[in-house]
Amino acid sequence: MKNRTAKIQTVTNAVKTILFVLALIVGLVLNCIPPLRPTVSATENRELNKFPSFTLQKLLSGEYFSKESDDPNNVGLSQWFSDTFPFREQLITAYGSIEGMFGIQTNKIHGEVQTGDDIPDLPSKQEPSSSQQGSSQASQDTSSLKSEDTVSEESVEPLPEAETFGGVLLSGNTAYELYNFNTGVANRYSAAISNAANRLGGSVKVYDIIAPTSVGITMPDSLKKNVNSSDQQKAINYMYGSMSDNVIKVDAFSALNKHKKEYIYFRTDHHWTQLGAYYAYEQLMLAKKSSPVSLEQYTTQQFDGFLGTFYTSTKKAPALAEYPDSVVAYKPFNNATMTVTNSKGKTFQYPIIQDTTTYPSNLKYSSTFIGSDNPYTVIVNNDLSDGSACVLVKESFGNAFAPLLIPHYQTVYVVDYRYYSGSLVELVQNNSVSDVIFLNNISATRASSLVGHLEKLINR
Amino acid sequence: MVFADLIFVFVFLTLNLICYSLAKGIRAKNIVMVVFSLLFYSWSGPVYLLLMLTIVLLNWIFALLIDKSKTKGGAKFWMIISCIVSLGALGFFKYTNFIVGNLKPLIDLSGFVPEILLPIGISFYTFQILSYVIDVYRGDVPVQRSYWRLLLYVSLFHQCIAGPIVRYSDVSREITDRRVTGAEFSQGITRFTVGLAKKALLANVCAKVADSILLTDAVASDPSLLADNISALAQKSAALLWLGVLMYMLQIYLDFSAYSDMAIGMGLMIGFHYKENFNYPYAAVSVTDFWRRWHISLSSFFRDYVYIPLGGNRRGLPRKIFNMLVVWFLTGLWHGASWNFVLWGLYFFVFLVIENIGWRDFLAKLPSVFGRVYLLIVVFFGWILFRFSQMPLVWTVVKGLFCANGNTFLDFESNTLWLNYIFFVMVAIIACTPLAKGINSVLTRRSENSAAIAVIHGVVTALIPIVLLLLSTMALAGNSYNPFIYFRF
Repeated sequence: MKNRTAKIQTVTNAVKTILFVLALIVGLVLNCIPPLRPTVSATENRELNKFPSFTLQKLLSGEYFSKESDDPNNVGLSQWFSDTFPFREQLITAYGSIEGMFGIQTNKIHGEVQTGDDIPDLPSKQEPSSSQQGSSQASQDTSSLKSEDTVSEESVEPLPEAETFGGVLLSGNTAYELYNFNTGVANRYSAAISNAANRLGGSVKVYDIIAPTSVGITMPDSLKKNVNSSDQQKAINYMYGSMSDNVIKVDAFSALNKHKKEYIYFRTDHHWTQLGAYYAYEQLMLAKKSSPVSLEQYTTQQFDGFLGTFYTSTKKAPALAEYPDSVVAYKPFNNATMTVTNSKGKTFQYPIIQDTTTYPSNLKYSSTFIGSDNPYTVIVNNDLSDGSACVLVKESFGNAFAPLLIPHYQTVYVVDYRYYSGSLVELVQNNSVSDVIFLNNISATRASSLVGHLEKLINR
Repeated sequence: MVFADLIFVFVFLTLNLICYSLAKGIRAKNIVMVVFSLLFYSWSGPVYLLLMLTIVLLNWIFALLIDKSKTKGGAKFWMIISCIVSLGALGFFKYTNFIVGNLKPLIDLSGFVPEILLPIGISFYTFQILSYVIDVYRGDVPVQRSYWRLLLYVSLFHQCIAGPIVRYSDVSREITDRRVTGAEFSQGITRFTVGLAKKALLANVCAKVADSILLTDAVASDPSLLADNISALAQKSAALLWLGVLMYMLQIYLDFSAYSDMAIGMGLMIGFHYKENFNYPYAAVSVTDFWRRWHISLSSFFRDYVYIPLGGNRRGLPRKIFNMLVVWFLTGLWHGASWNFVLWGLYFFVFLVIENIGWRDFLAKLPSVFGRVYLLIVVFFGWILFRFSQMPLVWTVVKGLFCANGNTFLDFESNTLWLNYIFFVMVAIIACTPLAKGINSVLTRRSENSAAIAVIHGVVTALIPIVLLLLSTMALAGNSYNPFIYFRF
């Protein structure tokens, strides 16, 4: 008996040792085959780390081996190695299914939930310089920055600025980005828009649209009252209230809220759908005292199988993959052309609505509308010759919105304030622009770095 | 580089094992180990490598001088010089900033003293060197005449930066004479992969949840954010804080013991036998028992080199309590240059004194469950003190656990997170108990009488390491989040 047990044990030890040593050697060999190392991550929507360049100084400081960084071009060997590990994508997906077994995950919170500041009942009318709160928040914001809006399409460049900052709540097959109000940054935002109205002078009309996000609109009330997310209506009222009277404020919140049963926000992505953008557009027209184009005038195109930024931030939650979103685009009926200037300074023509049927599942919002987030885009409506022009200052919420402006202006200048390095005032003056429309989603108004870009654009 | 890093497992360790097995003879094998260890140490900056090489060199000389000394006094002189050098280096590099900070109200030296970065592993390797020199002085071990062999002992990458604190006497023979059997190599594989999985699959997840609830260390220790941090913590519901501290409690054991497991496992793969560093501490029945099971190499170090030389328990109760006070003050301080660690040490001192004057005898008469619950409660609150270097945060969390911040007991976030991690928490708790070990020994015993059980047991034991390695690789591939929390030690 003892003998047999000993024999089994010897065999066990041998098999165990062979398996383990083999696994290590296979791992080593696979890692030495450069084509097996991935360079981009499709689901995370980013470029993976680059092999660190060698300098003696980096070696001596230890950076060459062990530097950790969010900048893919500036990491140490250790981080590069695991970021570009062969079959990383498949390993992560497999690990995701293990994470699914950690508990009961009908609702799941991803990322850190930050409690917002109390929203003051009275607006602030004084000009806040860089308040303390704003700057201390800034360090936290940048720490959670991940480029998530990157697009690998030829027309567009990987982008350094992200839009989602907060925790993401997954409830059933819908995800929401939580929103925490930040008084300091909100005051800076209001001051920046007021400042724009003052600098642009009386003849130019300045409109501001703060777009709510899905957590403020479509999240069921039963969840909303429990979730640690600031009241968006109150926050928008506060920011509008704090702005100069020269700014025309557009009430997108009530309009979207009225239509909250409709498909106005994606479930797997933090953006609104173009239908959501349309309801905000109607309110803009109301404020402009123009009549909006009715939806019936448009023909639509639908691109299925969209899995957006929430799919990434929930580490590919299966609940989202099961019910992907559809991107519905309203095709402009005017004879319009669009010229894009990308972040490399290259200028070229591009379709206003691109057919993204065959595009990767994560690129369908960004690639469908106006060629994604480019610093500067000009759309010309050849049906008009009245010289009318507007500037739309936006982050990516504006992409679905911009095409809706075409029937109303001969020229629509679209500026992504995160990347545009020119001066807003000059752009307006050189092109006899009559309307400047700021369109910002509410998440951007709590992000110090984004409001910083906006301030710079206005002050240049 | 840390062990739970893909480049460590698939490049460093793999190459190390290949080179080691190709090297013929103990001398060549030792050279392989020294070269790899110095490379490992240089990973986070070779500058402090010089410091370690110098400290080893000096102490190598001091030990030789002790050995050469004709008189007891001469030996003692060199032993004291050695302690001054080693502890002086530790004190300078680890505690200067702390001392300057504390003196600030009296005199501001901050202009004269540069910010000093903590050399990695200095707390561990200094203690190893101290144990060597003192043991030579005491005549417990023969002096090591080769600098390289002493350097091998101190710098060996298995234990140099995260322990266990291996005594020279435990490995002195194996430095020049060691053999690996197939059974021990296989045992080492299991030990290593279990450690890797504890770190990659359990401790890292615990850390992520704990950080999301209790703030990350970088945020919590930033004095300029104190007011924000207090208000952030005060708003958390009680159930959420209980989860946060529980996750931290699990993390700190799983993480630390994982490193010891991996060290012991890698030692076995090349014929070194390091002593156990943890013995299921959360299954202890008293605080005294806990400290016999937690970080054993550290507590036995303080016992042998501080407590007993001070007289231990042989000079009456008051002297014994004083000796304990010294030991626990130092134990706390060793964990980090900050008052909260000192308080954490003294916190345990208080319970140990209470246990010594009768409480432990009383507990022993009760069913063991009382002792276990009492121990877990003491340790649980101890970790809050350990976590936050700023006392107001400790107090906020403690109050919050009992809804004393005006916070609710349950809220949406706490319900969600508890549900999200409920099975994970159960697995992590089981991983802290000897359950798996127990099942294994039952099966081993049963195998002797049943061929079927023997075969199944064999198959499972053969597959466990490879499965754990694969799972850990999956977890580490997507996990840029891979902190090592012992850097402050």
